[in-house]
Amino acid sequence: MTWVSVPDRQPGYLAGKQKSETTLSKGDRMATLLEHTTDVAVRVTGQTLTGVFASGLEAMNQILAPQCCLSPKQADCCMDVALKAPDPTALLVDFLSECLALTYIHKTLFCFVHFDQLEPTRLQARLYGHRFGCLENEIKAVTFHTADLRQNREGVWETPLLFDL
Amino acid sequence: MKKITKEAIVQRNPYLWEIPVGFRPDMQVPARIIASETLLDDILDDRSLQQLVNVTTLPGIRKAAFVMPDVHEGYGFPIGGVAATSYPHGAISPGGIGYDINCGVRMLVSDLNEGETRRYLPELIRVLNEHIPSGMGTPGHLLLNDQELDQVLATGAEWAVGQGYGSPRDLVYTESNGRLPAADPSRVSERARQRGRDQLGTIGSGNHFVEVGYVDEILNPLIAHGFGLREGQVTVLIHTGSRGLGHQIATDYIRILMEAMPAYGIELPDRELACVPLDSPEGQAYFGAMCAGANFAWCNRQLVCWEVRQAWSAVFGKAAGLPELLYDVAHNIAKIETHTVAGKTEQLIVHRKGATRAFGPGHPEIPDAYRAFGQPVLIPGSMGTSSYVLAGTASSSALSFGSCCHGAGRRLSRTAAKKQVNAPVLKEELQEAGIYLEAPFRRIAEEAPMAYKDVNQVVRSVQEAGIAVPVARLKPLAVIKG
Repeated sequence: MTWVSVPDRQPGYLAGKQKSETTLSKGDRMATLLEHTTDVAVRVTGQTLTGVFASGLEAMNQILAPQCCLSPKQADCCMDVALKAPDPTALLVDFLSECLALTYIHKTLFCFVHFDQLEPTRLQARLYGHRFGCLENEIKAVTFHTADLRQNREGVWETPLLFDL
Repeated sequence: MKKITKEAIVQRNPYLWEIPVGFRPDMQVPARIIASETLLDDILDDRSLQQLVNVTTLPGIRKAAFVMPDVHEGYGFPIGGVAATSYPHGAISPGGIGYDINCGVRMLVSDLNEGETRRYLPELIRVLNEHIPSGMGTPGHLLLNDQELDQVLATGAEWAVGQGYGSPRDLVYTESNGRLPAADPSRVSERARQRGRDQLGTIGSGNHFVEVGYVDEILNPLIAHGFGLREGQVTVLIHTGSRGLGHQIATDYIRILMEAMPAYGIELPDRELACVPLDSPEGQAYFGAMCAGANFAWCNRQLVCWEVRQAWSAVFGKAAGLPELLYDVAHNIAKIETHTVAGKTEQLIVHRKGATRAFGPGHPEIPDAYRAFGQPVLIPGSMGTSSYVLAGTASSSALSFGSCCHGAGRRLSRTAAKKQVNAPVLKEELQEAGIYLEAPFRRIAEEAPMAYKDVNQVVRSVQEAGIAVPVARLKPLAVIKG
């Protein structure tokens, strides 16, 4: 799992930047950076509901602490999460918001998630994480802006997500 | 979302533009843009104006929804948006305030001159960096217990001053004296408390900073004298907000309000605009929590101010005197204010998201010493460019609910900036120009001057629109970013 690099085309004093990160992919899921002036927007996709939720968590962790979850470590702790929401979009945003709050409170990055139950409006999951010293970016919140989790014509679950930085 | 082109916009004067009611059937009031034509062309590049049109659909909105010339795309409201709804039945919307409740700017002025300070800059930036926790995950020097946190939420900057982290004078020169009395700590969730408990006195990351600079040029000698500004004077700008506590309050209540909206028959084009009537139980709960978050932010900036003064003393010695507060302004907040709409005086719920209050001369909420000149408005540029001190005008109340711009305004995404900027080279170039930077390279790239609009054009727009008067231009000497 890694962000795919794309070449830089900038001249002059802006030169020397060889790559940037645009796409994060793993197995049946993917997160792609979208253009947004202020914050960080991504499109997350997954063949299954589990895949798209995991993709959202991976994308969020990659923004918080790039590469930190890419080399697996022994989990320091695990936490259970149980949520209900009126629709799949709200459930995803609530799930990521919950993970984000737990990340800050426990100073723990939750790189792994196991869903005991995941339905469009409810979930039970166990988060596994390891403590961090300092994060690279502060995400203030996971927003509902443009979020709309649904299956496309190919049956793939997808939605844009905007993280407020 | 319907793309907005220039053809849909009516020019009312060279610095005021309008998207009329009828552009979209759900608009309740016009959408107005305060900007030069050049800046308007930039604004059309992102989705700021679609978001502004969404704001015009808020229940109870009065007169018009506005954006300032530093506007850029956000979520819910655009950043740089202002909207007022009727009090008390009109909408209160967390998306019109932002997740960083009472993010704002505090400016200090010292007795020192630029020339005599330059040789101390490397030492000053090192010591400031030691004293001010920055970056994400770095806790502050205080860990509040439940009782202390309740006091902070209820009394804001007063708590810090009471504990010896400032002087009563600091409160006089802080918007709302650093305390919103409507704060209700009982409306702040345990989760929000957990996030904020160790964060007082921290600046966080992103575009937050502490910047040492100097007055490069006095633009209005009379008002500058009134504000105690003189050419060459060394200044400090502090930009931070309510940290994780405020972020969690907004997260909690957007969710609560979203679920409550159907009961009030409210439907909106963006869930991030979630709102309820202010006088509803949910509206009252959010307003109480939001005011508590605002108080936390004022206390936070007071603590950072104390840390700056500690560093100042360590570098320049006690004889140098401590930098004094010029003013502290919020730029993400909702307040109950009185304005004139269609010739009639009304109480309104004024939402400012990335916009600064800019009351004109004579307003009772302006400190006595400044009342004849208008409220100080602090406009940070990007690191490496100018910042400005402005003064509010009487016409800002008439035109834009007493509001003005809040900064330069982003024009490039963080990703685009990181692609384009060579941070080590930029840092070196800035240092050659006499500006010391303490920040990770990734942050230097994201926050590079080219990522922002030209602050001079932004200030020119608000000046020409008549909503603020330029008082002084500042230049940076040293910047700490999280």
